[in-house]
Amino acid sequence: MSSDPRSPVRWALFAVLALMYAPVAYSLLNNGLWSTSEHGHGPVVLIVSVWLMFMRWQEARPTMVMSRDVALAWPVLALGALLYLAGTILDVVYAEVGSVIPMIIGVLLLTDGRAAVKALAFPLSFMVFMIPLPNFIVGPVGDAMKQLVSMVAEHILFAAGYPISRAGVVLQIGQYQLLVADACAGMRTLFMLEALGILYLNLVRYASWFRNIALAALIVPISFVANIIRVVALTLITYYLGDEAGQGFLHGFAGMVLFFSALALTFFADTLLRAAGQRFGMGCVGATA
Amino acid sequence: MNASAAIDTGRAKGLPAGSDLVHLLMAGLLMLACLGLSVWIKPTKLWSEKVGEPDLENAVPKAFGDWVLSPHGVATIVNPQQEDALREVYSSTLARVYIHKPTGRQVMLSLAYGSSQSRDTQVHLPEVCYGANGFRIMRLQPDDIRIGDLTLPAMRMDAVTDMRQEFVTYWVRVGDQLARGALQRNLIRMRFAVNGYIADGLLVRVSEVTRRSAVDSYRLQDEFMANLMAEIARTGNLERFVGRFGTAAPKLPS
Repeated sequence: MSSDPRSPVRWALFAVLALMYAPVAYSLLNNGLWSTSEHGHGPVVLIVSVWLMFMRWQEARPTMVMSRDVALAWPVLALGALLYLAGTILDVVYAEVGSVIPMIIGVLLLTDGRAAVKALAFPLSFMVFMIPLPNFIVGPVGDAMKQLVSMVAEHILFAAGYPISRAGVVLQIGQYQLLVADACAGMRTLFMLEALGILYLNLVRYASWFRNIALAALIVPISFVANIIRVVALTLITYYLGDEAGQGFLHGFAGMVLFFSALALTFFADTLLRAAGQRFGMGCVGATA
Repeated sequence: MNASAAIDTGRAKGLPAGSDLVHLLMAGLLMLACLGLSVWIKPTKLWSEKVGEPDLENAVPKAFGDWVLSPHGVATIVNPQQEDALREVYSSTLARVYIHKPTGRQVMLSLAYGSSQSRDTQVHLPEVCYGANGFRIMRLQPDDIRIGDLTLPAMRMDAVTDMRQEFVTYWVRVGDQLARGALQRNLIRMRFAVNGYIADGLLVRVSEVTRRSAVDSYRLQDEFMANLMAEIARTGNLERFVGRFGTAAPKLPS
């Protein structure tokens, strides 16, 4: 590290940046959004992003052409500062948290120039997933998803011979009534799964763009299917074991079902894509090839 | 020490050259200034602690004009998660069903008060709640309700499911004013923030589940609202429901 003369300045500036965001992180963690189950992935995404930044930095540094892009840095820094101030004063959490990305880019442009930002492009874009999604996005998309998930779950269980009916997002099975709530099948789980999928793609590092794009697009239907599996599982748990089981520890269990079925489906889709790519010669040069 | 010497010693230590150093220092200062400003401006005092939280249960009379409380109360789907979420957002809520004595029609009144209108604990708008509970929002538009001298900037919402249609009228008070739309609410919050306060908020929602027409239902709801506000004005609680209207007390029909 001592071979890099810019290191102390970089550390100093990022220490100031960390200080700037300390109150934000504190309020998020201390009874804030990050302490809720819906946004619990936030700090994990942060840690993964920072770790990835270190990794990518170590890889890129030996060959990086360092410069400074002052003219580009200031508009980006100004944007970050504006978002940060608007966010903290008005309590607009997504602006507050989201501002950290332009701030980091701005500081990097000042300390090491464009090449540094390029080297850290993935971790910087991955940080998007730690921003709590604003309601005006979650609302409409999540609602459509909930409706569809409830409808498909109803059809599956009805076809399997269960006494089930549905009104909107309220499922009635036997004597039980279940409401497919936001937390059960919403936009936020999709968001989290998309994050996982993108991380997986990046860590595996395909050289094939076909597979990258296909898998990224497939994450949406995959999380949709995973959500259906979860709702069906929860409905059956409630039907056979009662309401308390469905709302109690088995509710958490159903969350795990969602998580692992999504993961399994992702790997499965990936394997299929690899096979398809080889068969049709889509130029699938894997990272190992 | 002259400038060139400063640059030379800087280079010797591996520090950036003069003009670069200025930019780096300025970036550091910008970040500290942001931190300082946000700590300084960010409101910490609750407006509700200054003016007192409303006692919804007692502020709303159980019988007034042509209206009496329904003995059956409110029937809802039990949803523990939702109840938890409600407790998080609202300091107090009130849900009642009133019967219109001349016709027997039932009108639901729902009040939700939140002492802190920060972004993640703002009152939830009915279009979001109804949408989340599987209703389709067929119409949502602003409509001014006139009660005596008062003009209330309210919203009308027609919501339907496969099994029922519900007509909803609501308004939102933020701090000391009624506000329609996110922009107005944010402007009020900003005005309070500049004065160091976190604004409180109250959602007043009236609705009827009916097979009648929207016009018919809203006419009854307006009548309900006028009766109720007149009664609340008599006990001196009107400001808590509709905000402040200058210094002059609004005249209401009695």
